[in-house]
Amino acid sequence: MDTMIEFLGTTGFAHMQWGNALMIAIGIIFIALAIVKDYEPLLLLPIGFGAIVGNIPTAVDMSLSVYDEGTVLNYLYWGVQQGVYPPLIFLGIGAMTDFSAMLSNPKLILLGAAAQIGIFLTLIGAYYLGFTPKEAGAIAIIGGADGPTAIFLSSRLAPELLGAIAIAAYSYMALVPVIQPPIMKLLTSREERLIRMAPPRVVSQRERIVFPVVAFLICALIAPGSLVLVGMLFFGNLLKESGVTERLANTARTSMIDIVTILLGFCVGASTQAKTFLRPDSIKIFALGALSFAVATAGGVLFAKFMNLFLKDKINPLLGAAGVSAVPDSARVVQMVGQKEDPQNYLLMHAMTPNVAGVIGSAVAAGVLWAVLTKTV
Amino acid sequence: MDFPLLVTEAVKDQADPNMIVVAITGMIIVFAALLILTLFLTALPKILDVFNEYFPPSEHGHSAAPVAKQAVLDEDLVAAMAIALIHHRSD
Repeated sequence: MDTMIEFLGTTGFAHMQWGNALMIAIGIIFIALAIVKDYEPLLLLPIGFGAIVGNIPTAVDMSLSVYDEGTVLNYLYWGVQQGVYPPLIFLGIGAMTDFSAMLSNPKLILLGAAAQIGIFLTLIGAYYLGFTPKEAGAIAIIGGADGPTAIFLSSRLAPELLGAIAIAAYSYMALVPVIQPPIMKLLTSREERLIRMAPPRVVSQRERIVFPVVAFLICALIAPGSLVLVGMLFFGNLLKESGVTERLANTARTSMIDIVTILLGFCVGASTQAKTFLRPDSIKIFALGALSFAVATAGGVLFAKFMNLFLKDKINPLLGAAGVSAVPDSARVVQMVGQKEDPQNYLLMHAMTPNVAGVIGSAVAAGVLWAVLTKTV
Repeated sequence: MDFPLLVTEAVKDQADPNMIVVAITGMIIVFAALLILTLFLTALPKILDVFNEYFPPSEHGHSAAPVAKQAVLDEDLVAAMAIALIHHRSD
Protein backbone atom coordinates (compact mmCIF):
# COMPACT_ATOMS: atom_id res chain seq x y z
CA MET A 1 0.00 0.00 0.00
CA ASP A 2 2.89 2.33 0.88
CA THR A 3 4.40 1.67 -2.52
CA MET A 4 1.12 2.56 -4.12
CA ILE A 5 0.89 5.83 -2.19
CA GLU A 6 4.52 6.57 -2.97
CA PHE A 7 3.85 5.95 -6.65
CA LEU A 8 0.80 8.19 -6.61
CA GLY A 9 3.03 10.93 -5.21
CA THR A 10 5.21 10.76 -8.31
CA THR A 11 2.35 11.08 -10.82
CA GLY A 12 1.67 14.24 -12.73
CA PHE A 13 -1.67 14.61 -10.94
CA ALA A 14 0.05 15.02 -7.61
CA HIS A 15 2.23 17.89 -8.83
CA MET A 16 -0.24 19.57 -11.15
CA GLN A 17 -0.64 23.29 -10.56
CA TRP A 18 -3.12 25.69 -12.14
CA GLY A 19 -0.36 27.12 -14.35
CA ASN A 20 0.42 23.71 -15.82
CA ALA A 21 -3.27 23.06 -16.42
CA LEU A 22 -3.63 26.44 -18.14
CA MET A 23 -0.63 25.82 -20.40
CA ILE A 24 -1.93 22.36 -21.28
CA ALA A 25 -5.26 23.97 -22.17
CA ILE A 26 -3.43 26.52 -24.35
CA GLY A 27 -1.58 23.65 -26.03
CA ILE A 28 -4.89 21.94 -26.77
CA ILE A 29 -6.30 25.21 -28.16
CA PHE A 30 -3.27 25.50 -30.47
CA ILE A 31 -3.82 21.96 -31.72
CA ALA A 32 -7.53 22.68 -32.22
CA LEU A 33 -6.76 25.90 -34.13
CA ALA A 34 -4.32 24.00 -36.33
CA ILE A 35 -6.74 21.19 -37.11
CA VAL A 36 -10.12 22.95 -37.14
CA LYS A 37 -9.20 26.42 -38.41
CA ASP A 38 -6.11 25.39 -40.40
CA TYR A 39 -4.14 28.25 -38.77
CA GLU A 40 -0.44 27.59 -39.46
CA PRO A 41 -0.89 23.85 -38.74
CA LEU A 42 2.74 22.99 -39.45
CA LEU A 43 3.75 25.23 -36.56
CA LEU A 44 0.84 25.37 -34.16
CA LEU A 45 0.42 21.62 -33.95
CA PRO A 46 4.03 20.85 -32.91
CA ILE A 47 4.06 23.89 -30.60
CA GLY A 48 0.73 22.90 -29.07
CA PHE A 49 1.79 19.33 -28.40
CA GLY A 50 5.16 20.56 -27.16
CA ALA A 51 3.37 22.84 -24.68
CA ILE A 52 1.43 19.86 -23.37
CA VAL A 53 4.61 17.77 -23.03
CA GLY A 54 6.49 20.63 -21.37
CA ASN A 55 3.79 21.16 -18.78
CA ILE A 56 3.41 17.66 -17.47
CA PRO A 57 4.64 18.14 -13.91
CA THR A 58 7.19 15.66 -12.61
CA ALA A 59 8.63 14.84 -9.21
CA VAL A 60 11.52 17.05 -8.11
CA ASP A 61 14.15 14.33 -8.58
CA MET A 62 12.97 13.42 -12.08
CA SER A 63 14.86 15.43 -14.70
CA LEU A 64 12.91 15.39 -17.93
CA SER A 65 12.29 18.94 -19.14
CA VAL A 66 14.05 20.97 -21.82
CA TYR A 67 15.75 22.97 -19.08
CA ASP A 68 17.26 19.94 -17.28
CA GLU A 69 20.79 19.34 -18.48
CA GLY A 70 21.46 16.02 -20.16
CA THR A 71 17.85 15.09 -20.84
CA VAL A 72 16.64 14.09 -24.28
CA LEU A 73 14.48 17.18 -24.54
CA ASN A 74 17.41 19.32 -23.46
CA TYR A 75 19.53 17.94 -26.30
CA LEU A 76 16.75 18.71 -28.79
CA TYR A 77 16.31 22.18 -27.26
CA TRP A 78 20.02 22.86 -27.81
CA GLY A 79 19.23 23.66 -31.43
CA VAL A 80 16.86 26.39 -30.27
CA GLN A 81 19.13 27.75 -27.55
CA GLN A 82 22.11 27.99 -29.85
CA GLY A 83 20.11 29.37 -32.76
CA VAL A 84 20.86 26.34 -34.97
CA TYR A 85 17.35 25.58 -36.22
CA PRO A 86 16.32 29.03 -37.58
CA PRO A 87 19.13 29.27 -40.18
CA LEU A 88 18.33 25.75 -41.36
CA ILE A 89 14.70 26.80 -41.81
CA PHE A 90 15.93 29.80 -43.78
CA LEU A 91 17.90 27.41 -46.01
CA GLY A 92 14.68 25.56 -46.78
CA ILE A 93 12.74 28.78 -47.32
CA GLY A 94 15.40 29.95 -49.77
CA ALA A 95 15.22 26.66 -51.64
CA MET A 96 11.45 26.92 -52.03
CA THR A 97 11.14 30.65 -52.76
CA ASP A 98 10.79 31.94 -56.29
CA PHE A 99 12.18 35.47 -56.37
CA SER A 100 11.05 36.07 -59.97
CA ALA A 101 8.26 38.45 -58.93
CA MET A 102 10.77 40.49 -56.95
CA LEU A 103 13.19 40.57 -59.88
CA SER A 104 10.47 41.70 -62.25
CA ASN A 105 9.26 44.61 -60.10
CA PRO A 106 12.04 45.58 -57.68
CA LYS A 107 10.46 48.80 -56.41
CA LEU A 108 8.00 46.73 -54.37
CA ILE A 109 10.96 45.63 -52.24
CA LEU A 110 10.75 48.97 -50.45
CA LEU A 111 7.39 47.95 -49.01
CA GLY A 112 9.19 45.13 -47.23
CA ALA A 113 11.59 47.67 -45.78
CA ALA A 114 8.80 50.01 -44.65
CA ALA A 115 7.02 47.27 -42.76
CA GLN A 116 10.07 46.82 -40.54
CA ILE A 117 9.08 50.04 -38.78
CA GLY A 118 6.98 47.83 -36.52
CA ILE A 119 10.21 46.31 -35.18
CA PHE A 120 11.90 49.58 -34.41
CA LEU A 121 8.90 51.35 -32.87
CA THR A 122 8.32 48.35 -30.63
CA LEU A 123 11.98 48.46 -29.65
CA ILE A 124 11.41 51.92 -28.20
CA GLY A 125 8.09 50.94 -26.62
CA ALA A 126 9.47 47.80 -24.97
CA TYR A 127 12.46 49.66 -23.59
CA TYR A 128 10.32 52.36 -22.02
CA LEU A 129 8.02 49.70 -20.56
CA GLY A 130 10.93 48.52 -18.46
CA PHE A 131 12.59 45.77 -20.46
CA THR A 132 16.38 45.78 -20.76
CA PRO A 133 17.79 46.87 -24.15
CA LYS A 134 18.50 43.25 -25.10
CA GLU A 135 15.03 42.10 -24.09
CA ALA A 136 13.48 45.05 -25.95
CA GLY A 137 15.37 44.04 -29.11
CA ALA A 138 14.23 40.43 -28.82
CA ILE A 139 10.60 41.46 -28.28
CA ALA A 140 10.68 44.02 -31.09
CA ILE A 141 11.56 41.43 -33.70
CA ILE A 142 8.07 39.90 -33.26
CA GLY A 143 6.96 42.77 -35.54
CA GLY A 144 8.92 41.14 -38.33
CA ALA A 145 6.30 38.36 -38.19
CA ASP A 146 9.03 35.86 -38.83
CA GLY A 147 9.13 33.02 -36.32
CA PRO A 148 12.63 31.69 -37.07
CA THR A 149 14.11 35.19 -36.99
CA ALA A 150 12.36 35.93 -33.69
CA ILE A 151 13.69 32.69 -32.19
CA PHE A 152 17.17 33.30 -33.52
CA LEU A 153 17.40 36.82 -32.11
CA SER A 154 15.83 36.04 -28.75
CA SER A 155 18.16 33.05 -28.32
CA ARG A 156 21.05 35.47 -28.80
CA LEU A 157 19.77 38.45 -26.81
CA ALA A 158 17.22 37.26 -24.26
CA PRO A 159 17.06 33.45 -23.95
CA GLU A 160 14.90 33.75 -20.84
CA LEU A 161 12.09 35.25 -22.96
CA LEU A 162 12.45 32.82 -25.83
CA GLY A 163 9.33 30.79 -25.10
CA ALA A 164 7.03 33.80 -24.79
CA ILE A 165 8.52 35.53 -27.84
CA ALA A 166 8.31 32.43 -30.01
CA ILE A 167 4.73 31.72 -28.99
CA ALA A 168 3.77 35.37 -29.59
CA ALA A 169 5.49 35.44 -32.99
CA TYR A 170 3.90 32.22 -34.21
CA SER A 171 0.51 33.13 -32.76
CA TYR A 172 0.45 36.41 -34.64
CA MET A 173 1.69 34.70 -37.80
CA ALA A 174 -1.22 32.31 -37.47
CA LEU A 175 -3.58 35.22 -36.88
CA VAL A 176 -2.47 37.18 -39.97
CA PRO A 177 -5.89 36.67 -41.64
CA VAL A 178 -7.56 38.11 -38.54
CA ILE A 179 -5.22 41.00 -37.63
CA GLN A 180 -4.34 42.46 -41.01
CA PRO A 181 -7.60 42.98 -42.98
CA PRO A 182 -9.16 45.59 -40.64
CA ILE A 183 -5.95 47.66 -40.71
CA MET A 184 -5.70 47.35 -44.50
CA LYS A 185 -9.29 48.44 -45.00
CA LEU A 186 -8.99 51.27 -42.51
CA LEU A 187 -6.00 52.79 -44.29
CA THR A 188 -7.12 52.43 -47.90
CA SER A 189 -10.01 53.70 -50.00
CA ARG A 190 -12.06 51.44 -52.25
CA GLU A 191 -10.48 53.06 -55.32
CA GLU A 192 -7.03 52.21 -54.01
CA ARG A 193 -7.98 48.61 -53.32
CA LEU A 194 -9.21 48.32 -56.91
CA ILE A 195 -5.84 49.27 -58.44
CA ARG A 196 -4.60 46.54 -60.77
CA MET A 197 -0.92 45.78 -61.16
CA ALA A 198 0.80 45.28 -64.52
CA PRO A 199 1.68 41.64 -65.19
CA PRO A 200 5.28 40.80 -64.21
CA ARG A 201 7.90 40.43 -66.94
CA VAL A 202 9.67 37.18 -67.70
CA VAL A 203 12.90 36.84 -65.71
CA SER A 204 15.94 35.12 -67.20
CA GLN A 205 17.75 32.28 -65.47
CA ARG A 206 20.91 34.36 -65.30
CA GLU A 207 19.08 37.03 -63.32
CA ARG A 208 17.80 34.39 -60.92
CA ILE A 209 21.31 32.98 -60.45
CA VAL A 210 23.03 36.34 -59.98
CA PHE A 211 20.38 37.57 -57.54
CA PRO A 212 21.11 35.38 -54.46
CA VAL A 213 24.85 35.99 -54.66
CA VAL A 214 24.63 39.77 -55.03
CA ALA A 215 21.71 40.15 -52.61
CA PHE A 216 23.67 38.23 -49.99
CA LEU A 217 26.73 40.42 -50.51
CA ILE A 218 24.66 43.61 -50.18
CA CYS A 219 22.82 42.51 -47.03
CA ALA A 220 25.76 40.86 -45.29
CA LEU A 221 28.19 43.67 -46.00
CA ILE A 222 25.73 46.30 -44.73
CA ALA A 223 24.59 44.32 -41.70
CA PRO A 224 27.07 41.50 -40.96
CA GLY A 225 24.90 40.39 -38.05
CA SER A 226 22.39 39.12 -40.60
CA LEU A 227 25.03 36.92 -42.22
CA VAL A 228 23.79 33.62 -40.84
CA LEU A 229 20.11 34.10 -41.68
CA VAL A 230 20.42 35.80 -45.06
CA GLY A 231 23.40 33.60 -45.92
CA MET A 232 21.34 30.46 -45.51
CA LEU A 233 18.32 32.03 -47.25
CA PHE A 234 20.27 32.97 -50.35
CA PHE A 235 22.35 29.81 -50.30
CA GLY A 236 19.12 27.81 -50.40
CA ASN A 237 17.89 29.96 -53.27
CA LEU A 238 21.13 29.47 -55.19
CA LEU A 239 20.76 25.70 -54.78
CA LYS A 240 17.33 26.04 -56.37
CA GLU A 241 18.18 28.43 -59.17
CA SER A 242 21.58 27.11 -60.21
CA GLY A 243 19.93 24.14 -61.87
CA VAL A 244 22.86 21.87 -61.03
CA THR A 245 22.00 21.05 -57.41
CA GLU A 246 18.38 20.08 -57.72
CA ARG A 247 18.80 17.16 -55.31
CA LEU A 248 20.21 19.41 -52.60
CA ALA A 249 17.54 22.05 -53.17
CA ASN A 250 14.88 19.39 -53.04
CA THR A 251 16.18 18.02 -49.75
CA ALA A 252 16.44 21.51 -48.26
CA ARG A 253 12.88 22.46 -49.17
CA THR A 254 11.26 19.17 -48.22
CA SER A 255 12.79 16.67 -45.80
CA MET A 256 15.21 19.01 -44.07
CA ILE A 257 12.87 21.91 -43.45
CA ASP A 258 10.19 19.49 -42.29
CA ILE A 259 12.51 17.83 -39.78
CA VAL A 260 13.74 21.16 -38.45
CA THR A 261 10.19 22.56 -38.27
CA ILE A 262 9.12 19.57 -36.20
CA LEU A 263 12.06 19.95 -33.83
CA LEU A 264 11.77 23.72 -33.57
CA GLY A 265 8.02 23.79 -33.04
CA PHE A 266 8.04 20.96 -30.53
CA CYS A 267 10.97 22.34 -28.53
CA VAL A 268 9.55 25.86 -28.44
CA GLY A 269 6.27 24.44 -27.18
CA ALA A 270 8.05 22.29 -24.60
CA SER A 271 9.92 25.35 -23.34
CA THR A 272 6.69 27.06 -22.30
CA GLN A 273 6.62 25.61 -18.81
CA ALA A 274 4.16 27.45 -16.61
CA LYS A 275 6.81 28.61 -14.14
CA THR A 276 8.88 30.26 -16.89
CA PHE A 277 6.07 31.30 -19.20
CA LEU A 278 3.21 32.55 -17.02
CA ARG A 279 4.71 35.81 -15.87
CA PRO A 280 3.50 39.42 -16.15
CA ASP A 281 6.26 39.98 -18.69
CA SER A 282 4.64 37.45 -21.03
CA ILE A 283 1.44 39.50 -21.14
CA LYS A 284 3.49 42.61 -21.97
CA ILE A 285 5.32 40.67 -24.68
CA PHE A 286 2.04 39.56 -26.24
CA ALA A 287 0.66 43.11 -26.14
CA LEU A 288 3.84 44.56 -27.64
CA GLY A 289 3.90 41.83 -30.27
CA ALA A 290 0.35 42.66 -31.37
CA LEU A 291 1.21 46.36 -31.49
CA SER A 292 4.38 45.64 -33.43
CA PHE A 293 2.50 43.54 -35.94
CA ALA A 294 -0.22 46.15 -36.42
CA VAL A 295 2.33 48.95 -36.84
CA ALA A 296 4.27 46.86 -39.36
CA THR A 297 1.13 46.28 -41.42
CA ALA A 298 0.17 49.95 -41.27
CA GLY A 299 3.75 51.00 -42.10
CA GLY A 300 3.76 48.94 -45.29
CA VAL A 301 0.34 50.16 -46.44
CA LEU A 302 1.10 53.82 -45.71
CA PHE A 303 4.46 53.61 -47.46
CA ALA A 304 2.75 52.22 -50.58
CA LYS A 305 0.43 55.24 -50.52
CA PHE A 306 3.46 57.48 -50.10
CA MET A 307 5.18 55.87 -53.10
CA ASN A 308 2.02 56.44 -55.15
CA LEU A 309 2.53 60.19 -54.76
CA PHE A 310 5.56 59.87 -57.03
CA LEU A 311 4.70 56.95 -59.30
CA LYS A 312 2.97 57.11 -62.66
CA ASP A 313 1.87 53.47 -62.48
CA LYS A 314 0.23 53.32 -59.07
CA ILE A 315 0.81 50.49 -56.64
CA ASN A 316 -2.15 48.83 -54.97
CA PRO A 317 -1.46 49.91 -51.36
CA LEU A 318 -2.79 46.61 -50.04
CA LEU A 319 0.55 45.16 -51.19
CA GLY A 320 2.23 47.08 -48.36
CA ALA A 321 0.59 44.78 -45.82
CA ALA A 322 2.57 41.89 -47.30
CA GLY A 323 5.76 43.62 -46.15
CA VAL A 324 5.51 41.73 -42.87
CA SER A 325 7.38 38.56 -43.54
CA ALA A 326 4.76 35.96 -42.72
CA VAL A 327 5.30 34.04 -45.95
CA PRO A 328 2.99 33.40 -47.73
CA ASP A 329 0.13 34.16 -45.34
CA SER A 330 0.22 37.95 -45.57
CA ALA A 331 0.48 37.74 -49.39
CA ARG A 332 -2.59 35.52 -49.35
CA VAL A 333 -4.42 38.04 -47.17
CA VAL A 334 -3.59 40.79 -49.70
CA GLN A 335 -5.05 38.61 -52.45
CA MET A 336 -8.14 37.89 -50.37
CA VAL A 337 -8.82 41.54 -49.43
CA GLY A 338 -8.16 42.70 -53.00
CA GLN A 339 -10.52 40.11 -54.47
CA LYS A 340 -13.30 41.12 -52.13
CA GLU A 341 -13.39 44.43 -54.03
CA ASP A 342 -12.63 43.02 -57.47
CA PRO A 343 -12.77 39.24 -57.96
CA GLN A 344 -10.71 39.58 -61.15
CA ASN A 345 -7.81 41.37 -59.45
CA TYR A 346 -4.93 38.95 -58.87
CA LEU A 347 -2.47 40.46 -56.42
CA LEU A 348 -0.89 37.30 -55.00
CA MET A 349 2.16 37.20 -57.25
CA HIS A 350 2.81 40.92 -56.75
CA ALA A 351 2.36 40.58 -52.99
CA MET A 352 5.10 37.94 -52.87
CA THR A 353 7.68 40.65 -53.59
CA PRO A 354 7.15 42.72 -50.41
CA ASN A 355 6.56 39.45 -48.59
CA VAL A 356 9.97 37.96 -49.35
CA ALA A 357 11.54 41.41 -49.08
CA GLY A 358 10.08 41.45 -45.57
CA VAL A 359 11.92 38.20 -44.81
CA ILE A 360 15.18 39.79 -45.96
CA GLY A 361 14.37 43.05 -44.15
CA SER A 362 13.56 41.39 -40.85
CA ALA A 363 16.73 39.27 -41.08
CA VAL A 364 18.75 42.44 -41.67
CA ALA A 365 16.92 44.15 -38.78
CA ALA A 366 17.72 41.17 -36.56
CA GLY A 367 21.35 41.43 -37.58
CA VAL A 368 21.43 45.12 -36.74
CA LEU A 369 19.77 44.62 -33.34
CA TRP A 370 22.07 41.73 -32.51
CA ALA A 371 25.19 43.67 -33.44
CA VAL A 372 24.14 46.82 -31.59
CA LEU A 373 22.38 45.52 -28.50
CA THR A 374 24.78 42.71 -27.71
CA LYS A 375 27.09 45.42 -26.35
CA THR A 376 24.47 46.65 -23.89
CA VAL A 377 23.79 45.34 -20.40
CA MET B 1 34.81 51.43 -35.14
CA ASP B 2 32.88 48.43 -36.39
CA PHE B 3 29.46 50.04 -36.71
CA PRO B 4 28.05 53.38 -37.81
CA LEU B 5 29.24 56.10 -35.48
CA LEU B 6 25.73 57.19 -34.52
CA VAL B 7 24.79 53.75 -33.19
CA THR B 8 28.08 53.27 -31.40
CA GLU B 9 27.51 56.57 -29.63
CA ALA B 10 23.90 55.65 -28.87
CA VAL B 11 24.89 52.48 -27.03
CA LYS B 12 27.88 54.03 -25.29
CA ASP B 13 25.96 54.03 -22.04
CA GLN B 14 25.50 50.28 -21.88
CA ALA B 15 22.89 50.41 -19.12
CA ASP B 16 20.78 53.17 -20.63
CA PRO B 17 21.38 53.43 -24.36
CA ASN B 18 19.57 55.96 -26.52
CA MET B 19 17.04 53.59 -28.03
CA ILE B 20 15.44 56.23 -30.23
CA VAL B 21 18.74 56.72 -32.04
CA VAL B 22 19.21 52.94 -32.24
CA ALA B 23 15.72 52.55 -33.73
CA ILE B 24 16.13 55.33 -36.28
CA THR B 25 19.59 54.12 -37.32
CA GLY B 26 18.37 50.54 -37.53
CA MET B 27 15.50 51.56 -39.78
CA ILE B 28 17.88 53.53 -41.99
CA ILE B 29 20.20 50.52 -42.29
CA VAL B 30 17.33 48.20 -43.26
CA PHE B 31 16.09 50.74 -45.80
CA ALA B 32 19.59 51.26 -47.17
CA ALA B 33 20.12 47.52 -47.66
CA LEU B 34 16.82 47.03 -49.46
CA LEU B 35 17.14 50.27 -51.44
CA ILE B 36 20.54 49.19 -52.76
CA LEU B 37 19.03 45.82 -53.59
CA THR B 38 16.19 47.57 -55.44
CA LEU B 39 18.59 49.72 -57.43
CA PHE B 40 20.74 46.74 -58.27
CA LEU B 41 17.79 44.64 -59.42
CA THR B 42 16.50 47.55 -61.52
CA ALA B 43 19.86 47.74 -63.27
CA LEU B 44 20.41 43.97 -63.49
CA PRO B 45 18.57 43.34 -66.81
CA LYS B 46 20.65 46.06 -68.50
CA ILE B 47 23.88 44.73 -67.00
CA LEU B 48 22.99 41.24 -68.20
CA ASP B 49 22.11 42.53 -71.68
CA VAL B 50 25.68 43.81 -72.00
CA PHE B 51 27.08 40.64 -70.44
CA ASN B 52 25.02 38.44 -72.75
CA GLU B 53 26.52 40.14 -75.79
CA TYR B 54 29.97 38.87 -74.84
CA PHE B 55 28.91 35.67 -73.12
CA PRO B 56 25.67 34.49 -74.70
CA PRO B 57 23.68 32.03 -72.61
CA SER B 58 24.74 28.49 -73.41
CA GLU B 59 22.13 26.26 -74.98
CA HIS B 60 23.74 23.32 -73.28
CA GLY B 61 23.51 24.59 -69.74
CA HIS B 62 23.29 22.37 -66.71
CA SER B 63 19.74 23.35 -65.96
CA ALA B 64 18.03 20.61 -67.81
CA ALA B 65 18.78 16.99 -67.24
CA PRO B 66 20.12 15.43 -70.43
CA VAL B 67 17.32 13.79 -72.34
CA ALA B 68 17.99 10.17 -73.03
CA LYS B 69 18.42 9.54 -76.71
CA GLN B 70 15.59 7.57 -78.15
CA ALA B 71 16.80 4.18 -79.03
CA VAL B 72 16.81 3.60 -82.76
CA LEU B 73 14.93 0.43 -83.38
CA ASP B 74 15.99 -1.96 -85.99
CA GLU B 75 13.46 -2.16 -88.88
CA ASP B 76 13.32 -5.96 -88.72
CA LEU B 77 12.65 -5.77 -85.00
CA VAL B 78 9.77 -3.32 -85.58
CA ALA B 79 8.30 -5.61 -88.23
CA ALA B 80 8.57 -8.61 -85.89
CA MET B 81 6.87 -6.68 -83.08
CA ALA B 82 4.06 -5.58 -85.42
CA ILE B 83 3.43 -9.16 -86.57
CA ALA B 84 3.46 -10.43 -82.98
CA LEU B 85 0.98 -7.73 -82.02
CA ILE B 86 -1.35 -8.60 -84.89
CA HIS B 87 -1.24 -12.29 -83.95
CA HIS B 88 -1.88 -11.45 -80.32
CA ARG B 89 -4.94 -9.38 -81.17
CA SER B 90 -6.34 -11.93 -83.64
CA ASP B 91 -6.15 -14.60 -80.92
